[in-house]
Amino acid sequence: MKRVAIKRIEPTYTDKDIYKMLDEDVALWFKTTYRSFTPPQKIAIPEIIEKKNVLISSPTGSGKTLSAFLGVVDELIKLHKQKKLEKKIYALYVSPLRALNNDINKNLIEVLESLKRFYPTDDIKIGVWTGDTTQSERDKMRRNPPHILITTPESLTIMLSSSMLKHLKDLEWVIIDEIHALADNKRGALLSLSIERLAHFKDFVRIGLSATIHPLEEVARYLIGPNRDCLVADVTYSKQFEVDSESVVEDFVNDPSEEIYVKLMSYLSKQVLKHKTTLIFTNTRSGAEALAYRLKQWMKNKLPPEAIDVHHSSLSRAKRLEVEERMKRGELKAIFSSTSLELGIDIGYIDLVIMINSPKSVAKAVQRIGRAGHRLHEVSRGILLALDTDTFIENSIIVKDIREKHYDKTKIVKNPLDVLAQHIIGMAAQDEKFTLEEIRKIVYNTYTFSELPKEQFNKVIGYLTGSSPILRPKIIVDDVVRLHPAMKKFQFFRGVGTIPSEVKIDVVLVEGNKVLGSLDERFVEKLTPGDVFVIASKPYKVVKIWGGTVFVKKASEKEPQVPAWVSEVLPLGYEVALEIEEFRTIAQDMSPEEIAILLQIYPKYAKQIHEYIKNQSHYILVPDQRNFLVERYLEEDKYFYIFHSVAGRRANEALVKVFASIIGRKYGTDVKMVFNDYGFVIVTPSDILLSETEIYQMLNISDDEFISILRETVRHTERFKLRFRHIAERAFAITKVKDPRFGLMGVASSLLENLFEYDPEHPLIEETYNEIINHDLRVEEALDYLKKIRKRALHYVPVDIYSPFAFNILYGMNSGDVFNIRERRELLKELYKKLSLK
Amino acid sequence: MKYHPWGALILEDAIVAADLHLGLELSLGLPLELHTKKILNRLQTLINEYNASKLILAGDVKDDFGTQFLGPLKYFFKELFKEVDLIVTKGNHDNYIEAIIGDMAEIVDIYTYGNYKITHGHLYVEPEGKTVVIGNDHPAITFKTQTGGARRYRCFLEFDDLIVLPSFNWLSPGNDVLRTFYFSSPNLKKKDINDANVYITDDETIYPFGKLGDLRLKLNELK
Repeated sequence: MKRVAIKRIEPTYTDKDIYKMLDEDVALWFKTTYRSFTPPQKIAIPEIIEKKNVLISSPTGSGKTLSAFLGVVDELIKLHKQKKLEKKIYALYVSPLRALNNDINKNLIEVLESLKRFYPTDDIKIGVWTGDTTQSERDKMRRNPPHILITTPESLTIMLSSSMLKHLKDLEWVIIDEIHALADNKRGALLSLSIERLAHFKDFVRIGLSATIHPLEEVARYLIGPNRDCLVADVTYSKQFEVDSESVVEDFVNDPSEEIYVKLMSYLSKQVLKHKTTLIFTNTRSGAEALAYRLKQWMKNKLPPEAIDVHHSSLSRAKRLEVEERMKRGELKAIFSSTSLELGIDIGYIDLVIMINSPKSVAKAVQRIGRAGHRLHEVSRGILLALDTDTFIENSIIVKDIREKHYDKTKIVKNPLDVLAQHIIGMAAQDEKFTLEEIRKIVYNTYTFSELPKEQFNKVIGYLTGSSPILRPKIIVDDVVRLHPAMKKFQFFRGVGTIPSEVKIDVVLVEGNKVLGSLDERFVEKLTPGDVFVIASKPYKVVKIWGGTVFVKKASEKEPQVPAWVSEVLPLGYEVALEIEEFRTIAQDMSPEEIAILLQIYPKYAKQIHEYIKNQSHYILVPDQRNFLVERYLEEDKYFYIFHSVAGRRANEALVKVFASIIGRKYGTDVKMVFNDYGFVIVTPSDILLSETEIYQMLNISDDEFISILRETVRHTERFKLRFRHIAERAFAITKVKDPRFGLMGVASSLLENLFEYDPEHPLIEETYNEIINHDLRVEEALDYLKKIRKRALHYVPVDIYSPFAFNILYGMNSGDVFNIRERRELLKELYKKLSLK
Repeated sequence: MKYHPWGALILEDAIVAADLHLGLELSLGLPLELHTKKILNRLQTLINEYNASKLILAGDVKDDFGTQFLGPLKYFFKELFKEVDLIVTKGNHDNYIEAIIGDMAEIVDIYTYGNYKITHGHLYVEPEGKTVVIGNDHPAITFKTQTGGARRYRCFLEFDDLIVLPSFNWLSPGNDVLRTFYFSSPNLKKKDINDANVYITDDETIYPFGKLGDLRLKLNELK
């Protein structure tokens, strides 16, 4: 196996050296326009000119994109001068955001325009091909391919199976932008297959552009696959970050919650007035809506309501564009966003980023702060604002990590079988057919699939060729791999992509028939005419729910119910969780001043952390790296078993599911569960008293048994069905249904039942387990954490009142769901009883 | 008379099931045969369990589809034809049904059986002292869970002289009677929906939840 060289490079060339490498007109143009090269440009441009694979990691505003394109444009001009410029696509630029693509297009056109003053030619063409491109524009490109083509991962996948393929077989460069937003998810996996497929015809130079992400070597491997070399330019240290962890109150424990809310509004209002434009991240869309609405009311006398707005992915495209435009023009003083503004596009001048509650990981925090300033020389200012003590500790640790450049690790998605199936169908649909061997080679040449077990690959082929009686075949494998006649090309095009179809219900304003945004189907199921909710930061009242639409009218200023979008809670990173335990271990013996120094926070805030830890210590003990605490608390007819496992909510969900299942089965009873980042709780009827031995045995469960039980518990949940549906859609086992009349769940359930009956080891089922257990539930972290617990002293303590730390687990901001094990039938039975009908 | 949790009405010697919408899966991209077979199995089980000699399909036997499904559809009916007398009251989606199964079933607009007048429901039928039994509106009901999700269940609606059957095909989403105010069956339109006695099924058990109006009030109290 060839040893891959991934090398970090330092800037070794001077500006003068680089100018010498460039065409003289290009050099003159650059010097006149920009004066000098930025750090990423200095490192990357020479390597790109020498046709080496490069991964550039640098913050926004550092001239990253130009470093990628300058080498390309330079070469094109050189060719043009030699009269050797052909009518073909030389460079392919891929980014995950359509908005970003439009920005890049504009920038490139400007670059070429200004270059014309030095070398007048109109012959260098740029084209954009995304879902928004019109048919006539596409036809034009098909006849006259541009030299640089800008596109998205999904459009690229479609192009490869269409007549555009012939124009893509002779590329010199492929540039992947915002690669950090692709490498760790299935969208990136799909892209890596597309790129490798192209490389099969002719290999090319790969350039990756990334924001801060760690470890860069992993992302480099994702970019180039297991058999190539790559240079890495890490320029992230050059941007100045000014970041602080702050608290809204000095004393969380004794200040009542209304006080905290008032102080939050007052704090936000002060910051908004002090700065030109403030970007405020809440972690949920509902949070963004609620706070925007409330801040407008709070600042009624100081700011016009239009100066405050929201931006999130459930708003209509028109609305989002409007907000983005207003941001760029500097018309907004405060913008509330959930996560939609984390990525790339230029949003104008932002001088302060505030994150309410915890961003939960260092990478997220850095990404968000990076949105401020936006030019390299400007300082990015960020504040992590906590509303409770545990979050404050969390934020302080994250801020400390940022200052010490201690980043959390990204995991590249490996072996997603549904993406593989989709892409193989794409290859079967291609004009030029591949043999099965060629397909195999392409797949294993990506980092994503380089370690795919042979039998998994074969199983996917089996599924696609219709080996199971339940699912119709999509491909035929003989001398080449081609589409099965039952699978039509247009069906493939329609279903390309990894983003699952959530049925979005439009919200339409009755006056003027205006679309305001969209809601999750699950939320709409709860709405009744007369309900008031906030969308696009204004309150509306439901008039009628009909077909696939919620009709609303403007509501008055009464208390709104805010849309609760599902599954948005960010999980705490495992590494940060362990650091919190490390902090707890040493902080117990520290004074407030020492804590302030350790966490690098203001002493007045350190006092409350000191209090918090002291209270816990006096009441019972501080759960840390040496002591594992389980509290048993009796309330009326129930026992609450509170496990202080600071492992992040994903691992905790795995732990609580397994333990609850063990207890539930042993005692034949219904067991309730609660969990969050800091621990989990198991609730049983009071006739079940667990002994210390039982707890000890549970904690010493073998890895295999743990995994086996976990698989069993996820099997019968709504989540399994929902996830299976997404996976089945991606793998074309069921079609993406856009018609809101149909309950999507019923379809997937039916297929799932059948598959389990006839083919329980079907790759799609395996992928569902995989996604849930490894990605949602982080079984790896759960098992690792169990190993750590076993080395600690176990303290199983009955209490009359639960400890301060336990309070957070039970009722804190981050609390997870409470749910029964047997869902649907139990719900109806219970409701029937509750209504005293039986 | 009895309501069966699978969504059928059991009468003296007959089973009544409405809105089978066979072939619904086609428009959802699902492979067909297995689901249709399941529906067939259920009907056969009911016929055997209750020793019925008649099977009355109250309309919308087939969903809208092209010719691919004709084979399975014919097979479906052939199997049933072996065991019972088949009666189909035509629904608005049952175009050209005579051509497919005309020789195996009696196809009418209204079928009177004892004290019941069975019809699909898209056309008005005068009770004339009997109880009208219809489908067409696919009654269902949605309840919210503690975690913010919701579950949908099929249900029967019962008035003095009218019974509305749910769709026998559990893939059909149904209309939430708590949140729908527009129904398409003329017989149902004439009623106040809050007067209906609602019987909810979770596919295993029938729960009599009482009058819809009372249920609405009780649910509001719980909020």
